Amino acid sequence: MSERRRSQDQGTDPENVFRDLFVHAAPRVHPPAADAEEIRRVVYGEWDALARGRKRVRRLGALAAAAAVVAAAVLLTVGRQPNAPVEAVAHVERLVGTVHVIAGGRTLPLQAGDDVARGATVTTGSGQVGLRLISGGSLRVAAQARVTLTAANEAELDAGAVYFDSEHAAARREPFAVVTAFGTLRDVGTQFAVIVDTARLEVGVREGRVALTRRTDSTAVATGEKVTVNGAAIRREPLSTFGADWAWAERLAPPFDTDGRRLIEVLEWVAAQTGRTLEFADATLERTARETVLSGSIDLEPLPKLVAVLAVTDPDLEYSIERDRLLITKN
Amino acid sequence: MVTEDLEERRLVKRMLAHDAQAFNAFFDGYFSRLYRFARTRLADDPEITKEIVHVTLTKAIRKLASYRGEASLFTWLCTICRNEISDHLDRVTRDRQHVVLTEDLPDVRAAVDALAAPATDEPEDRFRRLETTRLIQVALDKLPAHYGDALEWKYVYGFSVEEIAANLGVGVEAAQSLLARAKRAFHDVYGALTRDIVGGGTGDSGATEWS
Repeated sequence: MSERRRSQDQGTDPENVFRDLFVHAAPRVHPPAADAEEIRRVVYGEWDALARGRKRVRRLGALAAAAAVVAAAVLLTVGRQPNAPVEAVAHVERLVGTVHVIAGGRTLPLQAGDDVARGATVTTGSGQVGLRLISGGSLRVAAQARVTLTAANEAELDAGAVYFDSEHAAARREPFAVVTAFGTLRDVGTQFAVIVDTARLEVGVREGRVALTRRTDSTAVATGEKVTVNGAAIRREPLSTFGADWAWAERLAPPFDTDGRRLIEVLEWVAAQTGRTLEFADATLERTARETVLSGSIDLEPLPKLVAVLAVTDPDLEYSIERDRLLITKN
Repeated sequence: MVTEDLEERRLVKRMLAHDAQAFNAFFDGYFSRLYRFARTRLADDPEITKEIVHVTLTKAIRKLASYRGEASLFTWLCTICRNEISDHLDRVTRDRQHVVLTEDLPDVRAAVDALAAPATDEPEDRFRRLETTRLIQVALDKLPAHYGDALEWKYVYGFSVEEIAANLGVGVEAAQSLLARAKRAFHDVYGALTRDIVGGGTGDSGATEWS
């Protein structure tokens, strides 16, 4: 009797048996990102030295064994040159007002294009900043926030709000984590915002899903949901994926170079940045958008950029916004 | 598993040839699992765990050329790690009882039995449930990293197959296929962890029903 048949005879769905067992499961512990980075760098140095030494030893093939051992030992030492992972974990992509960075005991104003090193703390005051993460994705920091980039894939949010957009970076090695005093959030192909103050944590998910892990439990926050953690209490409620709550993050949207891109790419970018679904009045318009290649670029926020692009592409093209829809029409 | 072994030997060969991508694959694939392996054996102490894992990986790199693939790479790393933990405990205490591994004990039977038992708040039941939780995590960590991750995403975090596919950077069908392989591999590993407890038959553990 096949295993499947036997389980059916027993009235047990194999998938349900699996799910029943995993009711007892909890998320596995993740090593602290800062520790992981530190150990990676040290082990990398060890490996780099060893592998370089082996490479060179192979080239010395004709030498006597004793000489090769000596050479390897020497090269092992020489090979300890810093070729370790870069310290910078982000750079400044958007800057509004004055934002400071605290690193190495010094506080300095950030400039557009500046690198932000691992371990640096960003304090926004009345300013705002959009960061391009080296590990992929965009991290936007609202006014009155304080956030430390503890690793390539992790930020500690002490106060204020941040917005993370993974930009569908499927190649990410690990999820991006936002650590707060109330729990840790990890993305799975997501756009989400986190707000922290002294008493509570709020996380709102615009796209994808976020895992919120606290001491011993974990909960998922899905698209269009907001979860508030206040002490031991967790409140879950619906959340609009568009509108005023997200406006500050939209203003910090990363630059999008339209030169050589198809019109549909720009439209999809605007829809993603404003939390809306792109729709066309008819199939012909959609085909036109797929076939039209743009020339040149102008750096604007999403909606002003849409107006500019439509105007230069075809003056008869128009857009309208109806709640969660971005509709493209033609006069 | 034969394919996995072959892949691991190739990975080591590439690392020895100074291939940086191979180093990243090695670190990303084994570091977290090794960290958890050490941490559960070190009373959940993050500082000592960090130190032990650091030393383990450094020694593993130095011995890399001696890896012949007789055991899986993770098993090989765990062996080095066990020695480091043992040395550490020798240094700090003579009381070796702290390093006894629960999954090596006959008492694990109780954890498996607890799966079918009604939930109560009795301390013993709570202990059994916690042990079951830990055994599942041990089994997930014994699997190739992407298998363990995919199962955790699906059954612990509740992600859809589409989300898992996106996270792995593969198509939906490939993700479904990977999940099926991961479930079979989990069945084998979890079954092996509990086999001695349930009288040598995987059927008693319910594991055959997951295929």
